[in-house]
Formats: sequence, C-alpha cells, structure tokens
Amino acid sequence: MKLMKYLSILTLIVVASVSQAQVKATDKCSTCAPLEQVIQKFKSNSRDALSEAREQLQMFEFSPDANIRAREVATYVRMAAWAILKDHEGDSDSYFYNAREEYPKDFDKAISALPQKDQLLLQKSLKNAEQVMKKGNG
Amino acid sequence: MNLMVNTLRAHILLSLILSLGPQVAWSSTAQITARSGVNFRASPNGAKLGALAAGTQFDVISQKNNWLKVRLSNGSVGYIYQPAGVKYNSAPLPSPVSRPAEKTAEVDVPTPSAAPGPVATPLPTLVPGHSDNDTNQLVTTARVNVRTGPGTQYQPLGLVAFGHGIDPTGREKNGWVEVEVAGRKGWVHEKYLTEGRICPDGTCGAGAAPEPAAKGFVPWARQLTDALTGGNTAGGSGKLSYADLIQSKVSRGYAAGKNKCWRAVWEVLKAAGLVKGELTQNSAKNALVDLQKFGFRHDSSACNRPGVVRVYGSTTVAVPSRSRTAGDTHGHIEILGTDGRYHHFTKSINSIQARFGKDRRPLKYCLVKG
Repeated sequence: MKLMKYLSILTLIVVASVSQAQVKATDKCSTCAPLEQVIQKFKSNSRDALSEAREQLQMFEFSPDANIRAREVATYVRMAAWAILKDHEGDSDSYFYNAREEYPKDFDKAISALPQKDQLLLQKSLKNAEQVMKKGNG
Repeated sequence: MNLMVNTLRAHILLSLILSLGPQVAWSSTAQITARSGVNFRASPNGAKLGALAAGTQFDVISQKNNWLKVRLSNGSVGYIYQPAGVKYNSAPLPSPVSRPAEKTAEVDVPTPSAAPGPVATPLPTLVPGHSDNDTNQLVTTARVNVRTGPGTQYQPLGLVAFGHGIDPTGREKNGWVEVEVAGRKGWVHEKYLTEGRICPDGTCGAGAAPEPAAKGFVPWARQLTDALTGGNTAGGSGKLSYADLIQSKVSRGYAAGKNKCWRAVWEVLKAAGLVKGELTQNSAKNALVDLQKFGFRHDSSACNRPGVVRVYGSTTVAVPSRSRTAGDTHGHIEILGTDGRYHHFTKSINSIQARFGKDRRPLKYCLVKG
C-alpha cells in the first residue's frame, strides 16, 4: 500500500516536471529575437539602440496567434520601456501609444507584469501621448 | 510506363521552377518608405553598415525570415529588415541578363564616416568666385559636407557652415543637389538645404522690402572662408534684435517636456518678455494665432535668422498609423538660436526637417516680432 502511495507521488512529480518542461519549450519566441537584441543594446549603452528601437516600435508585426502574440507584446513593452526612457524627442511615446491601440488588452496585461518602475513609466507615457494626440501639442 | 511519364513530368516541372527562381528574385526592385530610414546590415541582425533613407531604391536578391538581401546602386550587398517600410516597385526590372549595371541609391546622413564606396578624385584647390547671375540661392540648414558626388560614398570637399548661401547648378540626383561653392562644384543632400536668403547684417529683416535670394548679402569671400573652415557665423550676424534675449532663455523650453514643443517655445518667449499670459492654441501649427497678439508676424525672408520662430504645419504625406507622431497632427514649432541650434522640446539641436523631411514637416511660418 505504501509502495503504491510512493509510486503515485512519484508519478505526479514526473508529470508535473514534464509539463513544466513543455511550457518552457513553448516559451521560446523566435520572432521576439530582434526585440530582445535591442533590449540588450540598451543595456550595453549602444549608440544604435534608440534608432533601432524606434524602427521596431513602428514596424514590428505582431503574430495573429494569441499565444505567440502575448510573448511578443511582453518583449515589445520591455523594449518600449527602454526606448521611452531614452527617447528625449518623444517619438517612441507616439509609436508605443499607436501600437497599444492595436491590442490594448495584450498590452495592458504585459505592462502589468513589468516592474513597478517600468509600469509607471509606460502608463505615464501612454497618458501623456493620449493627451497630446487628442488635445494637442501644447 | 505511367511511372516513367510521371517522373518525366515532375522533372520538367522542377526544371521550370528552378529556371524561374533566380529570375523572380532578381527582377524585383523595392524602395524604402519608412520615414526614419532603415538600417543596412552586413547580415541579418548583423553589423550595421549604414542607413538607407526614404526613397532609396535597391534590388532584392533574396528574402529569408523577414530579412531582405539587397544590392545597392554602388554594388554593396547587405540586409534590411523586411517589415521596415519597404515598398516593392510595380514596374519590374529586366531579368539579370539585361539588368542595368546600377540603380540609384542614397544614404541619408552625409558624414565623412559614411559607408565605404567609390571615392572621386580630389578636385584642385578651391578658387573664390561668385556668379552674379545666380538667382535661386539655397541656404544650408546645418553644418554640412559638400561632396564630389551625389552620395555619402563620395569624398567630402569640405564643410559649409550653417546658414550659408550656396548656388545650385540645377542638377539633382536622388535627393542630392549639385551646388557651386567657391567656384567648385559639389553635392549636398537636400535635407540640409532650404530656399531662402542670408541677412548677416540685419539688412533684410523684419520690415525690409523683399530682395532677391541671398545675392550680395554675404560677402562671397567670407562665405568661402567659412566654407573651407566650417566656421559658423550664425550667432554673430543676421540675428534679430531680441535673439540674444531668447538665447538666454532657451533652456526654459526644455522643462516643458517632450512632445510639448509649443508650450516649450511659449515658455521661452514668455521668459524673454516677448509674450505674456497663457497660450490658447493647442496645436503648434496654430501658434501664429497667439503670437500675433504680441506683434509677431510672418516674414518668409527671415526663416534663417537667429531668433526666428519657425512654425510647421501638419504632415502632407500619408503616414502609416504606427509611425504617426503628435507632430503629424499638430505640427511643430522651434526657435533658431544665436548658437545656430534649433530649440524646441528636446535636446535635439537640428531643425525638425532634418529628421522628418520637408513634406512630413512643411514649414508654414517664419515669425518675427516687430
């Protein structure tokens, strides 16, 4: 009887670890690679980082697949936080605001998963961009 | 028997596909439509070789995973990220066999450190000279290189300082304008040129009668000196009477924050005592409404005079939704300082047209007070 108990626990552990491994395997997001690269460039203070981030913020095409897109948006907002922080001319704010308009739920979910400091930065950026876009540049 | 026929059919089909493959790849040309330019790389996500400006045309060699392998007019082969604003031309080029040797291309930043390429033979020493027949003079909007050919791959002849008049010869190629400086011909990117005139001694400022473009306003010898030395005389002459006052307050504008160009400029003008109270217009493009209450007026001859307030309208070109910025709707406003820098809402020192182009940011008013 005891042996059966141990066996069932062991089976549970094995099943759990296998499913976790599967989740990790599907977590890979090949389309996120260019965004990740820009983030790394920001981290290494590369001079090209901002111009490449602006390019990606404008041009990145999100996947129609919701699961892939969720990961893409998560990476995109992380990159956007860097870009908005470094972009003193405000273009990144506009691009990020426009991108969020496409998938607001995905974006809000991804933003809420960021560290508090980044959340505040992006929320402030969105609020400011909305005000500027709708009310004017003043 | 059937098997043989089928095999033969498959073989013929495969041969057809293989023979068509390279032709399809070679026969497509494309051009950059992204306003901010696109990175040109040695390999997908690899080292950056340079940037391609909007309108740049190139041949597409192949495509893989959103990366286009392309060939520029100078023969350079590299990669660009495909979603980055690329438009395929509707008219296909001939197949590789009859394809012309070169198509045109440009790189948008005319700096001496541009991508390597053919270097023109250096011209002889510059000789002073100026034709009195010149009527359509252009003015530099930044300190800019004059090159031996229409592209950054050509060797710079020298620098022309900000705000100087140079004479176009009438030849243009891919956004590059051939000009004559001190008796020598060279090429300058149109991004750094504007139509106008120079008023170094304040003789053609507010209230002055319109005069022909630039002719005679700047001693040509001095222009030559500046052209050769890269000197910047914008702060010393041609400035508006209150330009120094504005210059002393420009840092106030930065506090207004990004995307707040109009408020930033208003804060500067207010600190300089040129306006009072609060602005009422939300968009920068409508700034004239508020400013004319305090005696500002449009003077097209003063666009390059330090102290001038430059107002840009909303964009006149179609902008992809993701790329749309606040300035596309609300225009832009900036002050040209006596330091030769453009002051607006950031620490950028260049005119907004240097970044967005003249269609994306059409210059609407040049405002002077008095």
